[in-house]
Amino acid sequence: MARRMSDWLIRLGAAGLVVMMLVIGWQVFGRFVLDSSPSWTEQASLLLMIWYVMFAAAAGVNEGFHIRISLLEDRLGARARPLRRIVAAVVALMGLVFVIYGTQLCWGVRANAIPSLGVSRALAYLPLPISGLLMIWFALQRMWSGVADGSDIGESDIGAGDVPGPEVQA
Amino acid sequence: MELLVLFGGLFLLLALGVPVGFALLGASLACFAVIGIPPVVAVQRVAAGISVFTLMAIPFFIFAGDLMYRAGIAERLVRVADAAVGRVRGGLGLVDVGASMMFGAVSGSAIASASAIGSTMVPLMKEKGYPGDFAVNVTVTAAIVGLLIPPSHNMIIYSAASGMGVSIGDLFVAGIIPGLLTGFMLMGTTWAVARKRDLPRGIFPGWGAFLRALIYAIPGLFTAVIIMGGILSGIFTATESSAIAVIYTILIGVLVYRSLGWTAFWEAAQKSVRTAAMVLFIIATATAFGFALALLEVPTQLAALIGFITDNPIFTLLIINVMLLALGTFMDMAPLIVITTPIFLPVAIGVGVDPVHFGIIMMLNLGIGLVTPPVGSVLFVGSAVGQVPLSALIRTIWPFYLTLVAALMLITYIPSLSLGLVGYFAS
Repeated sequence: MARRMSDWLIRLGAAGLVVMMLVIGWQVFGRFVLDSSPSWTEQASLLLMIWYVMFAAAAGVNEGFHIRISLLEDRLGARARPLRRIVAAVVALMGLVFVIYGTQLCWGVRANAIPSLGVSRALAYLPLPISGLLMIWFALQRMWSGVADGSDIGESDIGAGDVPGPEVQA
Repeated sequence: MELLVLFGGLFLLLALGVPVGFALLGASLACFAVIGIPPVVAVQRVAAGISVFTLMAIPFFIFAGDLMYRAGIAERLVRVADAAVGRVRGGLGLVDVGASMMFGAVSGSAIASASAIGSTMVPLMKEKGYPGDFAVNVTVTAAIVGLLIPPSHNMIIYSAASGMGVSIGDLFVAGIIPGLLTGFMLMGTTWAVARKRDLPRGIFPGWGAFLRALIYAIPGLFTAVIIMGGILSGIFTATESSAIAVIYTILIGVLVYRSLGWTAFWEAAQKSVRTAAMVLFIIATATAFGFALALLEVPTQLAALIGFITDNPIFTLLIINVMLLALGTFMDMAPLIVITTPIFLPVAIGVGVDPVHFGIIMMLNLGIGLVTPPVGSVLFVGSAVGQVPLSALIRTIWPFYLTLVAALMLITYIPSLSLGLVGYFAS
């Protein structure tokens, strides 16, 4: 369940990246070919980036691609389970912070509009509580199972986000 | 007391193995709690940290680098370098450095370079009888050169973190000569090490083969012309040029090289969004951490401290370099740029250092941190791609470290290496 959700978050994020490329491409096309620079493109792509970065960052909690130092864990070996639970608890707590204060931010700016887009500024903050909720879910699951994530930074392997080659991807 | 909570908290969380992005946020929140600032301010800083227009170039440069690898552009650059310098002793090592320099000119990320060039070069070198540790060490240190050779997404982070609008175009131009210098110095070291270890040499394929390799690589190398030409002439912003680089790479991958299919494209997009999210999430939470540092007046106090020790620019830069090198060994580059730029840049400007020149110093300095344990992401990538354990790499990497530090000293103390071209291109 968590696995499928995080796969979908990455797919959504990748689609966001491709759309952002098209939007900025359109901006350049508009300026040179249509001779009129669209005013919405920069704000829209920035908004898009905040959304997909927060989504993929949440998926990273499930996949374990966030860069970290795992020296202590490697040293503990088989006895590292309690340590992993503490780490997952810290991540879940940060997720909770995003949920509570992200919601507060959304509420605070709900009446303001983003210039040139005409939508509420709350849309720029909304990914924080949503991502926070997902982070809590993924981290709790990790805490429950106490398993190591797929790709720790350590002697043996590296963050899955770093290497294009399939041969080293976790 | 607040400072102790901030740094103690960060080190504790990092040591436990909490991911860097979450550790930065956790330490900032703890510090805010002690000062009595509501946590919503920290979350607001995080949101502000990614809501920066220039940062949009980062996912694009990562995406472009990954696509170039999948489209086989890295491999074509290797062939050019091989035809040019493959014939000397340890030739494939020089090929590795040369190809990394060319890849640095078309891609913006050292990690992309280490994985793209490494996955082509390391197996090839092993096959020709080169030891694995040598192959990986050359690859990872050469990847650092790509941080200096434009485009470079870390320069974009620096420009955003400087808070004073240091021009991305100026930084890109300023990196060219330091990048070439560091690259050539690494080639020298590679050659010397190869001689000492009696490594094989290749054969010169002839000028015809060299020209053919070059012609095949030109569509790929043209990316550099588009990016730099676009930014310098003012036609594109940095963000636009990075997006155009992605679109251009897709076009040549599909139409010219015919090596890029739908599956490879979609895999590259998914991979890039992961890397981009990792980098940008850390930048965002590092912004909250930097805010806490500013509240505690760390930049002003540190500036006063350094000013108390010395007002000599040579000494000041030496102190800053040593501190950055030490921080770089256990912290990643992006958060360090975000956190330390507001601290050290005013100090450097205070002793008369140009902000553009200082940016170049930071790129190479923190770049060295990417290849030093315990936390060195480029070194880890090299170790994984080359399947050589870290311990074996560390035993023989010293000549390369010394070369990078020597290059750092030259770049630090000869400002014209960085600023000479900037004056020439100044608009």
